[in-house]
Amino acid sequence: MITISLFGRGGQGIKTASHIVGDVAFSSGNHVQDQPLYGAERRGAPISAYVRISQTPILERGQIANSSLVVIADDSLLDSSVDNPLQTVTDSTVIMINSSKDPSEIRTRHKINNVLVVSDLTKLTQDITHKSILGVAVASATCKLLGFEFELVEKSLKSELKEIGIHQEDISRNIELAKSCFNQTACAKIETITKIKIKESPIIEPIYHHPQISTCTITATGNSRLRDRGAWSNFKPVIDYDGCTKCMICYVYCPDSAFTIDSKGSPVVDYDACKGCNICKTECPTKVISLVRRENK
Amino acid sequence: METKFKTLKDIPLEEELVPGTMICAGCGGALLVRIFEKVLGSNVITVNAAGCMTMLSVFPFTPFKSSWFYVAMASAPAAAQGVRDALDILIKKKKIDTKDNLKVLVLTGDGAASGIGLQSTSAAIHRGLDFYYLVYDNEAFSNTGFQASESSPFASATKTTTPTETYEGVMSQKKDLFEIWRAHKPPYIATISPAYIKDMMQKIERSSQFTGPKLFIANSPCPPGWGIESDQVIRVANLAVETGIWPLKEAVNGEVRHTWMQKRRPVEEYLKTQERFEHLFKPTRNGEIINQLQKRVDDYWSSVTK
Amino acid sequence: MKQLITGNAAVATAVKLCNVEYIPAYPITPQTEIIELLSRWINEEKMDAKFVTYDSEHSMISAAGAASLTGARTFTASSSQGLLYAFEMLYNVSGWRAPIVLANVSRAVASPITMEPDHNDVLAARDSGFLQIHAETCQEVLDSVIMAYKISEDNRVRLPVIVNLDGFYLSYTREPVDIPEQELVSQFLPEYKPVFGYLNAQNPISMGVAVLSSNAYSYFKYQLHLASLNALTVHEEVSNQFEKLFGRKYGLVDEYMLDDADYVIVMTNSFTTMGKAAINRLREEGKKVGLLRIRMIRPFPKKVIAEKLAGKKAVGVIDQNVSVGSGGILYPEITSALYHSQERPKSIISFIGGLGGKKISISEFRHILSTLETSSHTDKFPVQSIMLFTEDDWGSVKEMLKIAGKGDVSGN
Repeated sequence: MITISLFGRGGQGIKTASHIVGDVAFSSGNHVQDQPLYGAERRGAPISAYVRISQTPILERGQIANSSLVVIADDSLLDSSVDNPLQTVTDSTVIMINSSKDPSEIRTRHKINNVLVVSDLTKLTQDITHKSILGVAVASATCKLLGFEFELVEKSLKSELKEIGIHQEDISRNIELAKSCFNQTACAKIETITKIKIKESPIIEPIYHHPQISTCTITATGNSRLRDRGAWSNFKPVIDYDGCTKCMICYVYCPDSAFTIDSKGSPVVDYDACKGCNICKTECPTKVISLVRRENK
Repeated sequence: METKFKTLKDIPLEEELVPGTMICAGCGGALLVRIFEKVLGSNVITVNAAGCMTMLSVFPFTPFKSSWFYVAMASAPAAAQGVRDALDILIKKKKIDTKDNLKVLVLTGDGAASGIGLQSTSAAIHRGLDFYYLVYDNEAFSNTGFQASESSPFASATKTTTPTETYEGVMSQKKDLFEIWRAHKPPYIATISPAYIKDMMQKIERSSQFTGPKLFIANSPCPPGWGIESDQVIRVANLAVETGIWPLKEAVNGEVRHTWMQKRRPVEEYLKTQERFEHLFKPTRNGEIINQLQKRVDDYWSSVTK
Repeated sequence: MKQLITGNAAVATAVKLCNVEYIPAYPITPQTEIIELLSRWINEEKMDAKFVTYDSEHSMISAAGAASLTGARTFTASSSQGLLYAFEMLYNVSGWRAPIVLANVSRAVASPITMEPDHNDVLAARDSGFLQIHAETCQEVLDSVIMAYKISEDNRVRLPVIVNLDGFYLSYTREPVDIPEQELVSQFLPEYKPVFGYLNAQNPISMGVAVLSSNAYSYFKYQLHLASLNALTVHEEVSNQFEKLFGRKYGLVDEYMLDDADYVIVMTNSFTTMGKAAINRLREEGKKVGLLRIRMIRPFPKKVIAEKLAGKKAVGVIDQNVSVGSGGILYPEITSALYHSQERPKSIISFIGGLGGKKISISEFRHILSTLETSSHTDKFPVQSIMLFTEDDWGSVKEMLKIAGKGDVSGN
């Protein structure tokens, strides 16, 4: 069995990508199982999807514990300790990351010794389609890695995109995108998960705790700051203070309390809190807020 | 009544919700809750019915500096009554100090408020419960992926009312929750909009002079559900008011007064901004339905005198 | 001081003695007398509490849990359709660890709709996390409500409790009940002063929050289960304290002529009284038969049941309920408690009787005994639950079916 774990953010089309990969594998005569896993259906929130491909019936369900192939559609997830997309990586896992960074920089930073494929799929997607739905690029590159034929990718794309209501002219552009990604990616040797050393954990017997501990309550109030939402969007607002009239409109309209007003009355953005909705940019009456591509820390 | 909120700059600077929630980027509802809680201040318990805002607090994280209590979809007003009554009992018996008192805010979406939760809401208003009630109306069951609710507008697309060649979306009229509540004659009801923050703050302030139900319905644009870019939320909310589709009004002991009464723009300008109405324009413009929608808005305003 | 009072009045009296502070209510037959009495006493200022009628049982139980978490000692009551209407909230209230006491006046569940008792309503709640104590007499009802608060508010438990009393047979039936002195009850059950987790401005808290990670959910749910199991020991302690002050002792089970019995009938609730009468009759006829009543249903007292039934020749369990498609509900819980016991009875047989309040006649008790006797001599063990129904029962039903236009129906 080959196991593929895909990671991205809501709105990037990861679910669509997993369906395309699953369809392609299925129409090649394999047994297939694919599922998305999302905590909340939210744009920008981390989402993962799992695809299992096998010659024989698949006796597994749910999250993949050990991946033959890990596909990371949003490199900001690598910096999140909570999301940890490298968790299922073993010695033989092939890793594909969508990033504009240098592969050796990624290797060093995240201590990766595996076969690593790095492509700037975001740039390819933006160059070809208006809507940056990454899922198509991701699916196509993944299928090439797995050794499938492009005709199958094209066929699956057409039906999957039609299913989710994409218009015909956009479907053609997406096929173009898929072909481009397909051609740019090389095949890789993807190992089946057979004799992998599975990490086991001993059973413990739960003991009774005082209900103050064991009731699902939170007494550490206002602790959601610990969650870094800063990586939800690629673009962040930057204020040109020379033109700012301190009208406070940006502060007022931010749904996420990401602005504070400093002692001089100027708005200051908390980039760890900003999800990049960009309402502030649109509402600013003097147009002094511009969008800048976010760099990873 | 003299207001503390003469301009937007009078907005309280204390944040009652800290950042870091998993609510969608650009959510109209999130902005509404942020402002509402700012005006109410500290010492609030927010009692929540199932909906998008349930995701504000997910173990082990919560953005609330004050208290939060997630209940069930149908019974947030009933639980709110239980909290309010118990607080009153404890204060009367001096088991807690008056400074430990909490303002009770019920927070629900339109799905809970106009359908499954209508019964418990009606009962709470009928009993004269002293509470605030904020409905973020994104016009569908959004948390579950945007299926049609009793608040979904005529001819809008949702996941359970997907337009086809012969089907134009929701075929029922949006439920008039304001009038349903008004029939109970609570002390205060208002409609509010995230594009009219000053109006919103003043309304919350005005409502606070009353003991009893203080009810608010808020227009809550939803980027993934309505099919708009997240940065357009305020623009769209603005158009909802300026086309007359979302009247800004209040009712004090049942007496209605509008707080926006200007020349209206054609509803088409609002409809055009959202993918959920795209089927009315592509592949061809559906003049019949657009006219129906315009007429309904015109009829409403023709009967408005104040 | 003994008075002749109904089961409902016994509940209300206990609630008053416990200084309950908040009573969310919704009327349903056969519970209404409880809330009528309580509201009257409050209005007459004989009781210092707040009474609120809600719009439905679902709302009522939401409010009960919320008020309890805010810090008020809370009581509510329901039955049958009402309990089932509130169903999701039962799980919520126990998950919140709110120590409320709910009196369920058992009534069979629609459809068909009826007013008569059986236990499908209360047993449907067996997975919800509520503790369950089932009473046989009006005295036991009163005593159990008082004990319930003490068990519930103990931090080793901190779970809501259902005290069950049969509709009509207890709820509207008057019996002599010794009503405890207020001072003694206040000594036994002090004022409700939650130390943690109650809502107020000084200690903000987020409650009932979503738990999206499965390991955290498992943790919370295991804790609930452990809390309920703790109630087995807490009940024992509370029961001893109760006996010291009031002179009456309650166990997890109740025995009648059990010691030397070869054959045992297991029952619950008020119909047990009729069972005891049948035992007397059969004993007069020379049969060595006894009865075991299970009083605590949740947590289920497996160990005690296994001990009491050890060494018996045969046991018949009368379930006054039916899990449609399976049989009696308590039967499998009892047999699983005995499965590994070296001295388990040779046969344990399931009987279903008393549905919709149908009287269990002496003919039926005889039939139970003869089935047990046969099974202990032979290897005849019925797998399916035996449905108790007499010729007389069928005769009158046949008449009704005919009147209803169904024609002449044959019974077999």
